[in-house]
Amino acid sequence: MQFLEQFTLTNKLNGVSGKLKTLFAVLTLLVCSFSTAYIVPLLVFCIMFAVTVVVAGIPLRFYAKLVLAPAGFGLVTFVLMMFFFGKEPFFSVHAGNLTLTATKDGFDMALISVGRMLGSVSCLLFLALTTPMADIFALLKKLKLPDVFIDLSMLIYRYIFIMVQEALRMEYAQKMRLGYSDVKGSFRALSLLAGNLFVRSWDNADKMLTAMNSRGYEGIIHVLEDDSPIPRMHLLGLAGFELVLVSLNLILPR
Amino acid sequence: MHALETVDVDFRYPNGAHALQGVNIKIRTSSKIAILGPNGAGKSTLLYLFNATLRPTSGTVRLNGAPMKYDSSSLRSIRQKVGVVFQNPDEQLFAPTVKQDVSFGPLNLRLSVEEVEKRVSESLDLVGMSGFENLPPHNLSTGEKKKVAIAGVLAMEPEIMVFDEPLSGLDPKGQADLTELLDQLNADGKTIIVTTHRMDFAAEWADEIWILKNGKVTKKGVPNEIFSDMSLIHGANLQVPMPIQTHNELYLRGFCNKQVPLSVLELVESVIEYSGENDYTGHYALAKEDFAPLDDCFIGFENGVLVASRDDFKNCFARCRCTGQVHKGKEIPIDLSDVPEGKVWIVRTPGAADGGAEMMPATVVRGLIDSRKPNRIGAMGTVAKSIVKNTGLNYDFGSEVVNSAVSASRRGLSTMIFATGKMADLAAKRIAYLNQRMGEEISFQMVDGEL
Repeated sequence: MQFLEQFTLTNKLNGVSGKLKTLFAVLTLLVCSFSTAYIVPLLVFCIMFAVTVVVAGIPLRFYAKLVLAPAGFGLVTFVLMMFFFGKEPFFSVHAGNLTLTATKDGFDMALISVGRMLGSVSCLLFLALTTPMADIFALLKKLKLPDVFIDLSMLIYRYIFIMVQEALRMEYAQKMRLGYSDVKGSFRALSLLAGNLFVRSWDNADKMLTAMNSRGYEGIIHVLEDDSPIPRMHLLGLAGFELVLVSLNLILPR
Repeated sequence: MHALETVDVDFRYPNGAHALQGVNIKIRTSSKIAILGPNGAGKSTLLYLFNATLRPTSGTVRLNGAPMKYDSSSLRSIRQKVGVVFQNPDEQLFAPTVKQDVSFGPLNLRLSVEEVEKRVSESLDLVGMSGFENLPPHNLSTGEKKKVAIAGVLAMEPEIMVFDEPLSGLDPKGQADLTELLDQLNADGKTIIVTTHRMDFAAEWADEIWILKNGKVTKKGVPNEIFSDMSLIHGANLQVPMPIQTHNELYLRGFCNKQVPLSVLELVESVIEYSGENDYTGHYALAKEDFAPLDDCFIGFENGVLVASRDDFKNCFARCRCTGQVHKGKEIPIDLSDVPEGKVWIVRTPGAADGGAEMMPATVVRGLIDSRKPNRIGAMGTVAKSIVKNTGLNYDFGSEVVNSAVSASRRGLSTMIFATGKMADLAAKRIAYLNQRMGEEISFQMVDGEL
């Protein structure tokens, strides 16, 4: 079973502070989604693409696969917006006796929306492919989010993998006994799997609590966090980068 | 002194299952205890009582002589003193990274961050998982997860460690490593309690065995006592270990003495001793060199042919003396009744707490090996193993080290055992014990490795 997460452990940006990477991704994401000039999100996309594929060394093929799905949606949105939003006529397409008129303001809106979407996707992909979850939790803790929230996310994160494995094992066991051979059987097998998974999760949670209690758990999860500070120069660089993006928005035409 | 003691303990689960009925168990401090019994006998329930995860319905559990209390400050101290390693490591590991998981216990003990860091790295070192600190648990194999789970408990520095089925799900190498780790922890003075279905492991490893059936103790004793009672063993849905089964068959046919062997080594000795004269005449090996009378010859298989060589070689399994003049390419008669004595040297190496493998440079190890010229090298403990590897040599015995060394010595080959810290004393004790069991005198010598 291959998870996106695998790359966070092996990419070439492994040595860089996880907090810095998270800040970089989240701040750029914010700037990108509030951008008014369409060039900025596209620039963000190019930069994030370069950092993820060239610098961090994520395989291009793999990256392309991940971008393709949102890009497909983007294309559809783009076409719809161009033809069905706005008033000012731009150009027309004739197909038989059908005439579709694209609008100028619709085109501008499509460009900025799809641009923002692609830019944001690239930010999230950067985060997902280069930054281990533990680093993100460390940042959340630093930002003083409530303990309950972080503890829960931590447990959920760990248990995703256990549940996926459990579900897979059950699915194999069902398939071995011809569980998914027809439509009716598939529904039946799936419902059994889901129900069973719920019961087992419940049971596992119980056992885990016992195990945690036996190591002195008293309601709050204490674990060692990596509290190495982000180098000052890196922070300054990050601030400069975001400032450039913001000012580009102000200078460039809307 | 008893580390743990249960007095008339009864336990009923809320659904009415009567898991334990009047259980009285006494566990000596620093002993190795195996608890055997069929599925559903109450073994796991008993383990949970040992660290106050469960509270007996009636009766008392005593820790170091004092009855357990169940208020929150007592609970913290009990759980620090008694660590439980669960059977399925996935139930125990919850944190995003290995390091964070191991730090959980010691942080709950309210220790300083520096102390926690130190304990985390020490315990990961001890279980041989340094270098895995930042990996998430789902990236590890079952064996690795198990080791991390053990490190998580070790980092709390408990006096007593309880393992539920420690060997289950591990490959043979993993089982051997884990057995060694249990011995190492015990050598450091910890009381070790395991439940297991692995009879051969229980027979060889445990100081004392308790058998549980239907929530009651049916028998306790030292391994040879327990395993000489076949009906008891079968009555508890258990099985007699292979060496003992073989011994039983051979004994009934008059091929060995009566003493119950706990390992393959003891079984072989029992047969050899009984057959009296080691009648090895009629065995021939192909001489690879010219031999003169009284020359040392090393015997072993090469490409399926039994050969004799003047020098030690990889597959050689015995050393003996040549009886006459033999030319190269001719057959040499083997007389294993006149095997020269194979020595055992035990070198005490520094442990992880003394600074680890760096404290014993490769030149020192080389010096020890070159001056004494052992035929085989054994290593006990993670630090000793890396010390041997640092010299560029490989150890021949990495598990069942003492048994292998004693067996090699009986075949004329000498062994140098590198053992971490207290494992060295353990090895010496074990040889003395085997000598006494087999009525032999394998000579062994402690060599100070901390030069």
